[in-house]
Amino acid sequence: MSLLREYQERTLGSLLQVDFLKRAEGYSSNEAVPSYLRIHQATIFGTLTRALRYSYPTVAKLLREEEFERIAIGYARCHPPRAACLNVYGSGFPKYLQSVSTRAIAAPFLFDVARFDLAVQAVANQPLGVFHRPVVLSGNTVLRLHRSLRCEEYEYPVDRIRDVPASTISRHKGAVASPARRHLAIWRKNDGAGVKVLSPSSGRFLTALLKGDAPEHAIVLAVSGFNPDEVIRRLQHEVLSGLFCLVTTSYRGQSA
Amino acid sequence: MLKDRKCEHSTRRLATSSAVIGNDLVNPSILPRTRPISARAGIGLRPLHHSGVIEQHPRVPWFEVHAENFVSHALLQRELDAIAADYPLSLHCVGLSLGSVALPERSHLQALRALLTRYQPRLVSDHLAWNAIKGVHLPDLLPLPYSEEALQVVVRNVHRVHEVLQRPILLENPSKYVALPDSTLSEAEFLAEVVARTGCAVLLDINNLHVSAHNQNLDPEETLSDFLSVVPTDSIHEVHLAGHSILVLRDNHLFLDDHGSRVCQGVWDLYAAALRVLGPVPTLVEWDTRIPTFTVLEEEAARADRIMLKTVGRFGNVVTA
Repeated sequence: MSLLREYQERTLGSLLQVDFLKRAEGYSSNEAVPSYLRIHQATIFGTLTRALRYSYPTVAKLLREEEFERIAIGYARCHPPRAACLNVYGSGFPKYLQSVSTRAIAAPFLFDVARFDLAVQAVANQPLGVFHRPVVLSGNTVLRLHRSLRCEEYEYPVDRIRDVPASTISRHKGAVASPARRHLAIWRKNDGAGVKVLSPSSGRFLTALLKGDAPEHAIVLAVSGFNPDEVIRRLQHEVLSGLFCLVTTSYRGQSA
Repeated sequence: MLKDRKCEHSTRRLATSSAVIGNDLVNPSILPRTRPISARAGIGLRPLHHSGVIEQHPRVPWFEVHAENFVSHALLQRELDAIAADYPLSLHCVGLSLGSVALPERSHLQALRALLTRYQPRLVSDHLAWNAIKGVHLPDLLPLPYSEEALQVVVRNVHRVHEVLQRPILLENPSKYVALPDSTLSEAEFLAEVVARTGCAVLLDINNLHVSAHNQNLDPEETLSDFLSVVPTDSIHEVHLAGHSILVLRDNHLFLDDHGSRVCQGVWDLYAAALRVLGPVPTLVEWDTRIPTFTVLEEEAARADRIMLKTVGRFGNVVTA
């Protein structure tokens, strides 16, 4: 093995395996681990913690700073970045949260919140104004969904939790941490990601369309177990409102 | 930086043809023209200040941005579209890992090439350092031993980057905390060899030079003098300035290149000394942690300009990379 490769592999091992010591004043140049490596460790784990805090703002809000940092460093040591660009770092963080116990809050709840943060981040990084192929809903109505659109199902009211100010989160924790299954449409809009709560029937309809199912099949799934008139009313209000799609209706050969 | 992500429950938006065209899709007519970077002080622009720059249009000769911030980030790319339409840009990379035994990643190079096509930056740079090995990318700039083997690796990697990006890059001297024992060349000798063998240019980071000299118990002025006598001065196309902090250890002091404060007097003095040799040169004030208001960055850049005028008597006009 070349000397350079040996040095780089050895350094990588040291940086990821040596216990991370936060307190700089504890460093000594006489210690077995050179001080300079500890400085690089601090930079590396500090950067990765910031990247995770940026991608998972709601998780960070729910946990105390120390708690988030502890978990983020643990994740970073197990899952160091595989790409030079940190915008895509941390996609495994929600799953990792399931495997760690936190003193602050139940892990299943955090998993859901982290999935939501990840979806919002992913959508916000999508381009604007790009649409899927048109879907003919009926003879004269055509629907084109925004390509960034995702329809996600959550056990907890993650959108409400996201909107609670950090200063009052402890007061609201009990209420928002209770399971309340919901479907959310998440799509790219001008200043980031838009989020809309959907009824279960609209959620099923959109999920089916995004999977590529025929609209007729999506409608069947949407009305199953529900009042069809109510489902149609909700679809018109929630899906066809134009927030995350274009709806074109032709009259006598003209588009309107 | 992502902006407000509040829900839009009640907003109905009429679909229009402009939405179909898409604000994010690259329209060749709005691509920035290639603008020269003048030899005076620019500012390292971070996402925190994007909206302020777009709205207030401050008088800044040029901006430098971190390339990796914009890869796979449509929102930031759109902000940079607006900025690049009005200001010359320099693209500063941290992820090419030019000192790694592995070749620079093809996917990353392609992403950078796409940014170059979109923004037409006048300068493109990265560091004489490494951060990728065995498929892991560490977000830091790790030191290289300045050995013949490392020289061959860096030369190979720079050639590879030139081949894909189709333009020469600038190579920056990194900050170091120790001199690695396997080094057989000085940093300046190493850089000069890379310049000679690849045709790349040099980005002289004076704060890094100052920090490295202190950490290796060298005299910063002598180190700068040695650097400028070994590295061809006509290859130095940009200078970086930044603040640093000092870490007090039990038995030592380490200078940390944290880009989190104003430029110190020692670095300003070195800058003036460098200008006396280099003449006017594009100079950038970097600030990456504890980022202050834009006004503070403007003050630092104005100070660099004053020193350039006082030392050299003029600004330069156009710089070719």
